[in-house]
Amino acid sequence: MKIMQNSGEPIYKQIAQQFREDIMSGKIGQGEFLPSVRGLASSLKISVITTIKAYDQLQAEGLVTAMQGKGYCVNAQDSEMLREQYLRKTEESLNIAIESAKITGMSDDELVEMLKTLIEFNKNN
Amino acid sequence: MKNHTMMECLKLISPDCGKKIYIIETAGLAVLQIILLLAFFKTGTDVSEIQLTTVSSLAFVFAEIVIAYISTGGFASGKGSYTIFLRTSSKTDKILRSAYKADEIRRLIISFFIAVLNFTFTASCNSDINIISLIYTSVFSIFSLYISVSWYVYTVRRLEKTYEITLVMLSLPFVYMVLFNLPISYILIHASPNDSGLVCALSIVIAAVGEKLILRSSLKNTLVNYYGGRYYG
Amino acid sequence: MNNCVEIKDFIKKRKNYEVNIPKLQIPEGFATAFIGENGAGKTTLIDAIAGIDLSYSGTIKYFSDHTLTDKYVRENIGYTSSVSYFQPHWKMRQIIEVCSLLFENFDKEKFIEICQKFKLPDNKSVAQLSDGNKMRLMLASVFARQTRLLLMDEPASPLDPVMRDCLCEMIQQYIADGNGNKSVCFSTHNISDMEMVTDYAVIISGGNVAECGFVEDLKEKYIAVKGEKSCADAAKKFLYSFSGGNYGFEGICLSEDADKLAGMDVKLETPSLHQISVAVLKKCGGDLS
Repeated sequence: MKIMQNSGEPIYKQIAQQFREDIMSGKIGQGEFLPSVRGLASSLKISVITTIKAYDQLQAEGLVTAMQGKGYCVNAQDSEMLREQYLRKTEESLNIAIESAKITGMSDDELVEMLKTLIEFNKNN
Repeated sequence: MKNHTMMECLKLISPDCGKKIYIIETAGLAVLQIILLLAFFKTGTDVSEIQLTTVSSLAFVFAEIVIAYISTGGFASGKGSYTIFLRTSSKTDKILRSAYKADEIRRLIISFFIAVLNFTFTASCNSDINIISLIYTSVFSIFSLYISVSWYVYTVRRLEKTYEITLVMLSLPFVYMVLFNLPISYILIHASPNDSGLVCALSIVIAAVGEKLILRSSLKNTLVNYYGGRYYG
Repeated sequence: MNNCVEIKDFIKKRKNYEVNIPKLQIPEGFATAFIGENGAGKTTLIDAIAGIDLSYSGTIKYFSDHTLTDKYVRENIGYTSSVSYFQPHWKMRQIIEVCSLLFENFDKEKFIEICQKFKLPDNKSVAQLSDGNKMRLMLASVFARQTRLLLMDEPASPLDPVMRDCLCEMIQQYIADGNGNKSVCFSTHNISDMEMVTDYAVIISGGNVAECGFVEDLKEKYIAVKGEKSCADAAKKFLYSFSGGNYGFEGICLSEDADKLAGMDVKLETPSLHQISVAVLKKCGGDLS
């Protein structure tokens, strides 16, 4: 797991995002436990409360459940619904991009080209 | 819990600021004794006796300094924060109690040493000495020391507030004087058939008072440091 | 959530001022930082919790329902002071001896191991060590014990940057080992260095608790504001702390007041604990310039 201390993005969000991806992709399966709060904090060199906040966020999203004295357990994922959710999110974001492109006067081809470049760039990172 | 050895206790009881007070007080005691001796000299007491009492007083002072030096681990300098360390342990109370015992024993030995010294020197210079009164003095001196230390430790152990400890500490020498030394000296002075008994009794009273002063300062250091630490020390 | 320390109606009078804390709860299983100016009462508070200074009024409870008179409490508290509390003529050997004598849970092997990790010379007396090494020695002696609560008064101040990092690691390891049972409290002026281990912050000013809470909550409560000089005066009245020059200004304000800055040419961002602490302390000190 990679944490950027000075990226501007709050650390708890970075952690939550990475676990979210792992859970979605099935890397951490249903019924498995997330690393212990204090163990993770120690190995990432961040404070315990930051880790707790990240886990709490995942819990609020319904991805995990806190089990007293045991830790955070990954829930069964309703994959269809989640996919739906993310598709909607993608659509929204792309719409924003299109709006912005209009303002700058970019042509449609240029926009597609830019998207392709960004996808390439993301893959390489 | 295992009993703590004398060495362990001494290691703990030696407060690092105790040395100076030990030395100042023993020096003060020496001055006091010299003044009294000069007073004797003025009143025309036997010169050899004065010399011998001086020797015994000096021997006593020397013994105190040596013991102070050993028990405080040499004259290393340092601030009074060591006792903070003692207070972080739950066992300190118990160990210090043993330490008082060790200290007490040390003092009993000193008192005995003083009594014997006084006895020997005075006896050697005057065959008329009242031996029974000497023995009485020695025994009572040791006994009163023992009782007052026990009472002291018992009282202070139950106190937690600094002003209470200070009160007890200030009252102790007076309690000791009134309860033990004064009556004993009075009896001795009136019971002795001659001057040598008086001199002997007085020298023991002086030694006992000095001993009290030292006892007070030594316990005060330990206790004030233990309970009040750097805020009051 | 359990508390490792609960303070109630704490009053400690000193010659020039008093420390007055009606209520303070320190959560168990976290690292808590006491932050404040010199003489604010951090050391007084830590010493009272450690049971070194008993002359205060009020109650302090430990590990839910224990009091200081329980042997258990002192056995489970590790304390380091801001100055060395070992006798100056002691060497490593004597420290081991006295620590084993005083603490049942002192692990000699672990102590030696930590001393080696800290590169402490074992043939020098305490008096010959530098301030940093004296602190390392105290740290080694408390980390070598099995405890539930560590109280450290200014542990980072005499340490070099590498060692500070090492201290942070050790604190985190300690808390991780406890799995929610072990807590650490320390006072510090080096907030930035210690921020990565700080879960709960208690900001003390003039003998009172000016602010306390989990760091993540504080970071939501306050917000950092940066802006151009032109809107400095307008923004100033909402700000907790303010510093500005010819080119721009920056400060901290309550998140709930952030709306009032709308329309101004300002940038908002999450503040660091350091920024929050300085802002709160400045506000309490009353020197908002």
